[in-house]
Amino acid sequence: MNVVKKTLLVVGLLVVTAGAATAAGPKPEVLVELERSRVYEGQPVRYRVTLNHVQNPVAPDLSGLKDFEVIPGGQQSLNSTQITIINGQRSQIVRRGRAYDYTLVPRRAGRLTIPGPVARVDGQELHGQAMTLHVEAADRQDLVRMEVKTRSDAVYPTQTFTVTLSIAVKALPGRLDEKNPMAVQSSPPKLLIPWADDERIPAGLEPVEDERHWLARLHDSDGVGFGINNLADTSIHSLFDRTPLAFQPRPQREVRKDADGKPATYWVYNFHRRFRANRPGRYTFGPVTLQGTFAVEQGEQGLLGEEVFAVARPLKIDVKQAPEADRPASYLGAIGAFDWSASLTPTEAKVGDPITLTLTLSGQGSLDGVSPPDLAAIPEVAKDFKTYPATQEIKGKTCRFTYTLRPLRADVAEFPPVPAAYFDVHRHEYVTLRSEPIRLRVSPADRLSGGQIVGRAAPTKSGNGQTLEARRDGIFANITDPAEVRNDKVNAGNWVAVLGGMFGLGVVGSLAIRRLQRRGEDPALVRRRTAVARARRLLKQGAARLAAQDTRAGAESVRAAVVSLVADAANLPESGLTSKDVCRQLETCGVDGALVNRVGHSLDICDAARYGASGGGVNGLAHEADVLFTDLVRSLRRQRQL
Amino acid sequence: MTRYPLAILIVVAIVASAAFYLFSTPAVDVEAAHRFQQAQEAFDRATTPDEFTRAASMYQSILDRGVVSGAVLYNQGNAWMRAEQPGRAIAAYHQAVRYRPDDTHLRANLDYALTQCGATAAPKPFGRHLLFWQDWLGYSQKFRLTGAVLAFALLLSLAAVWSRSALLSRSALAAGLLALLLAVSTGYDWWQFDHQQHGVIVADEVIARKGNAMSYEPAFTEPLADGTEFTVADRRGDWLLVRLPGDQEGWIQDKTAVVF
Repeated sequence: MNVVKKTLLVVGLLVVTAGAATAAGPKPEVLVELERSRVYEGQPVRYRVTLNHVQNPVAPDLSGLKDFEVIPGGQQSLNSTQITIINGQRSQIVRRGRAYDYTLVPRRAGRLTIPGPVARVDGQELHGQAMTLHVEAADRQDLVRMEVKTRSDAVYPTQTFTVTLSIAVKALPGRLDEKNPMAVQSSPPKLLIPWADDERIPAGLEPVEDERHWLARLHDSDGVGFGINNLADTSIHSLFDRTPLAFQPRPQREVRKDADGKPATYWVYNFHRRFRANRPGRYTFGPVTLQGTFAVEQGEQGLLGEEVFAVARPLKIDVKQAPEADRPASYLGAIGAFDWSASLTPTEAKVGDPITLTLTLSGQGSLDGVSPPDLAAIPEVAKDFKTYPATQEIKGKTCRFTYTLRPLRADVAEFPPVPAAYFDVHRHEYVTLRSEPIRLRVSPADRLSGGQIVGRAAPTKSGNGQTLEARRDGIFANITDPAEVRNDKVNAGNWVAVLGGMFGLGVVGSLAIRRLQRRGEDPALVRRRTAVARARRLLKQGAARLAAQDTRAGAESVRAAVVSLVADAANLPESGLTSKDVCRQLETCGVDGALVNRVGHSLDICDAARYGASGGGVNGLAHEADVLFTDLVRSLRRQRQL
Repeated sequence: MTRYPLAILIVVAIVASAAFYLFSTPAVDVEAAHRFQQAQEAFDRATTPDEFTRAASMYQSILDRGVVSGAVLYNQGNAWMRAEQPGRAIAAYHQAVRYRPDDTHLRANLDYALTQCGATAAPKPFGRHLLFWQDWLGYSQKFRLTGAVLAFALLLSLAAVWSRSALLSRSALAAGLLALLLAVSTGYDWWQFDHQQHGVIVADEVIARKGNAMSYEPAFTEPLADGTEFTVADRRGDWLLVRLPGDQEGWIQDKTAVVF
């Protein structure tokens, strides 16, 4: 009994412990990380906020960071599931969370506190840990001065502008003041220019020249200049030893006042980069930092240098919306220079039939924020057409709006012009375009009668006063004719077989016809085909002459019948064939010897009669020749000679 | 030539090809027509979305018999619209358009359904711009017409070979080219309708995911709305990899869409 109690106690404890562990689960938390704890004023530092064990994270609130400019740097999901099976024991670790990256740019020097970020998770506020960052003032020096500038700090979308980073480096001391100060650097000073990296350029801006081409123009193959964004040579010659790439524009020499107010010579390097604004907004360029060693005096061993950290303050550029003053009602939201056109399909319809209107805006400029014109607000359109909301499609520099319309009346002769306004950045004014009117033929509807139209009474006989308006929205009626229910199912395989079979039959038929035609054109075949008829004709002629006691002519015809039959069968010239030739040819053809002898005998009788040697032999020649002819034809056919 | 008058040969070819077209036209399916009338009666009686859903199911029973009819699909689309399920209506209308491309009421209803969903019609593929006549004939009509024109071309070819007429040869060549063009057109439709699978989202908000499981992250920043059209790029189990008109891809569960 005691053992049972102990066992129950242990099992109970295990159950309670497991239940408690399950109920508690991992608690949501906010973790913060700072890339470094000490930076110069204006030097960016990476800051990461991680929401851990959070199912549905939302971005933390960083509004408390007044001393910093906060630049979002993207986010990353930390959701993961890890399943481990060891010796049949399955364990699963599920992690839910999201990391948010930021770049902080300190606005002032000093010991700055980064307040803990605040995250709201499932109605509950979570606070992250506050951190401290030591921000040192940029050196008060006059060796290097940097500035980010532009000629115009406000532009409209589609306009271009140039951002210039101007770096003034004090000339080398003593007699070396004529020498480019960058040429004496052991390694190029490091410049960090955010806008030199295309991937860091905000989405609303676009560089006129891409990063590769822009930097290629500034690249100095002798290694004289500034390093930009830690770009290094990755060629085969420096596979293991990456050589920093150096860039410099053509420097200019200027005289400026130094820190003591005395005139001093500076070498000025202006890095210009051109951008095109695509979307309204405020964009920041910078800050830019420079870190490197610059010569201050000429020593006995050579030049003596001083470590410099310089910062150029960020520049803000406003990309403005089109002005609200004088904005026409037909303004579509496009900025630039555009063409405007309309097309209608079909141009013949019945009242109530759907027709498609396509309005096309194309040209150069920004189509961001473009919205379709409200056709219902155009009185000329609304009085004649029922309109439906448009669909919008932007492809490249063209925006297409597609509407479904239904004509309301049969007397509509054209679709009226549609106005569309855009803002012309060059003229700084709105330009209103009008599409061309489109001719349209509308005939009365078949299906609608006054009684069917909902909402209005039929017009009176006098026809005065009442205008019926059809309701065009909703769906058209069902098909009710059962004769329409045909099985249109397509068995593509069967069809391919049928079409292929037809094609094959056609080819075979053509070949057969050609073969027949060839046979018809062969003279030997033609002779063979007509041999029997011709011989029979001669034989009849001979019989008739013999019956008329014209022995000579009759014998000649009988002989000609036999000879022509053999000549046509063997495709031989008929003239000059002797009796012996005929018999020889018949033997060649495989005709029975007895029949050949009979043929020879008959031909001899004919010859004798022809030449008057004997007249008695021709008695019964006609009958004998007829029998002989029949046997001969049969034999030749058996031998496939006819 | 007097032995084979051209007119007789051409008339024979025309009659034979017309006979081919007519005999290959399917007859009315009596049982399907009966069910069609019953479904129409149910539709006429229906007043609530549930009743319209039942009418749509009755039309579906015709389709389930293996009968593919543009009229049935059109009516089913109307029933789904009345049942307040525009996504399913769009799917039905799209299938009906294959067989009734010249039906303006069908087009209007499809446009209306798309408008109701706030969806935009998928852009016309380039091939359809090239084959601009595609919408003049239904899918099965194209097969029949291709067969008839091919028969006509072959008969003319035989007559041309037989009679050795240059006029018949040229006519046979022209008919052959027409048959080839129709075959390309028909083949394009086959590729579009039978080879490719299309679909429409039929749930209110469907989250497309980066993989074929609920544990994957959403593929898009917004859920897919009812009526969104797509093509099916892949299928794994009960998950579909869908490709939207902008070529974006994401995985959805197949129960949230109608695929055709």
